Amino acid sequence: VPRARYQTLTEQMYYILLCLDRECCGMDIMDKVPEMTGGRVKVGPGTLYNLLEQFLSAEIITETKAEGRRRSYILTEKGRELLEAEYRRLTVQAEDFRRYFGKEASE
Amino acid sequence: MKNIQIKWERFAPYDRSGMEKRLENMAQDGWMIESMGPYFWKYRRMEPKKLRFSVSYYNEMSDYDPEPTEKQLEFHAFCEHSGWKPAVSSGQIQVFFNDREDPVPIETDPVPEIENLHRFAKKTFLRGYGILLALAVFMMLLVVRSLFRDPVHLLADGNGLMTGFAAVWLFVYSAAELLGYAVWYRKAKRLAETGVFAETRRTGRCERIMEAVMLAVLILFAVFSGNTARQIHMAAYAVNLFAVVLIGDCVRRFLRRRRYPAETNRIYTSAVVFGFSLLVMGLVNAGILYGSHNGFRQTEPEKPPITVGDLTGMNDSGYLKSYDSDDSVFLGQFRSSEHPMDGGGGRKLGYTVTEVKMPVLYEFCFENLFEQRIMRHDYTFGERYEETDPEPWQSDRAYRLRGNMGTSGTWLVCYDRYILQITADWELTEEQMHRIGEKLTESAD
Repeated sequence: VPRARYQTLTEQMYYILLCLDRECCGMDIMDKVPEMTGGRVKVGPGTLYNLLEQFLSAEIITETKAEGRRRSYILTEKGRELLEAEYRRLTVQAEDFRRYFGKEASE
Repeated sequence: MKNIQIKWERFAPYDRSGMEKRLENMAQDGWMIESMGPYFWKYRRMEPKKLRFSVSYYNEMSDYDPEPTEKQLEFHAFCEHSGWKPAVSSGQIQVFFNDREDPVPIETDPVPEIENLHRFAKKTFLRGYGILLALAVFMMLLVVRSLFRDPVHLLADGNGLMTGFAAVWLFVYSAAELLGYAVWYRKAKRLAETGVFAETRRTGRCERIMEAVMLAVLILFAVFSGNTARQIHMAAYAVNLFAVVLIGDCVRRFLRRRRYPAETNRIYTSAVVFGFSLLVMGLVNAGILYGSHNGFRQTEPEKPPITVGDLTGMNDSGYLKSYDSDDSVFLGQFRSSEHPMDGGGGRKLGYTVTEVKMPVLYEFCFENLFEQRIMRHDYTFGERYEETDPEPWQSDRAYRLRGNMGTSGTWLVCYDRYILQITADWELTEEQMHRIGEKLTESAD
């Protein structure tokens, strides 16, 4: 069953939004994501471009300034809520994991 | 040593994996893509290199845009930041290459990638194939209708058969493309949910085979049709179809180079394509007409084997005569109709000679003509053929039409390769029947 749009975020979506907690442009995001994840996650230019366009039209992010081809963006309130909801979902999953395996280990 | 190579490349528009693999292989052989046309791709010689290629779909772009938009340039800047340089573009299809050993791919998340590709598909080839499929169904319905109404005529009509073949070909071609994409898209979407990119299908070979079959049938049809006017028509249609796309492409590129706005470019290109088609077909038709008027080429069939003058000895100079013929690999049909122009004082004669080129079809044709399934304007309820003496006709079998009012002047006569349906408005004498038989046997020899 396909997931409802933005109900859960893919890894790439999650890290792009995380970067946009502070104003930054596309190329900054491409550099920041591998830094944040120790090189585990990389965002390709096509994926970044398409996701930024989608986030803009869904009002998850907003454009702050445009200097030639460099456009900068930042999270909107809606985007922040979405990111927090995803964080809570991931936290609950992690807690469930710990509880389940912790219980197994104690048995 | 040549530095340019032009190749006929055939890929489904969504076959990104196929295109990338092809371009990588060519680069390894020392050929860099320079342009992608509607039929051919142009390569330029370079040092053989191991390059990575990536095909992207940029939906905000059209083939008519004079220059890249700011947004597109932003996308290119993103790509260049990761080492991806633009190689070539064709409409929304953008090709990039990268000489790094292990570059970050342009697409790293399959979910937006497949959504983007599907938007491109809906905007471009799905719409096109949908229209072709509808056209094919419409053409097939027309052919099926004539198959039920007059199968013998359809089998004799080379153009009709060719239309039928083209309709089936178009149906199979467009349905296969649509179905192929639908199956792939379903799978790709499912895989994308699990974070996996789906390889695209390699359909290029199937498309090439389908196109080669169509081309071969067209050539065979033109060669064996035996009708020069039809051959010229076929050749003109084929050349026109091919040339129109090439000319459209050249005009579009020229106007783009001259920085014409996209809408103006679209209008001018469409006008040139339409005008060119009209001009080619108009010139061909005018040429055939001119040729026939000047005796270079007779578009009408040869002299009819039987005329009122031959049978009655009357002077038929004041007669209105019309002849036409159809021809195919299965059957040939010659139709003739003669009647006096002033409406009285003369004789009326009309007939159809069906030449059966394949003996296996003889009984099928005979039964259809005998049963008069053909709903002609002169058909009246209750008419049926009754067997009569074939001797005067010098034939194997002969039948005369009988209606509620008695016998009529319509006969169905079977010869070795011919079936004659003839209607005379006078009682044919045995001598006249004999002469008709002789004429038909003569032309058979």
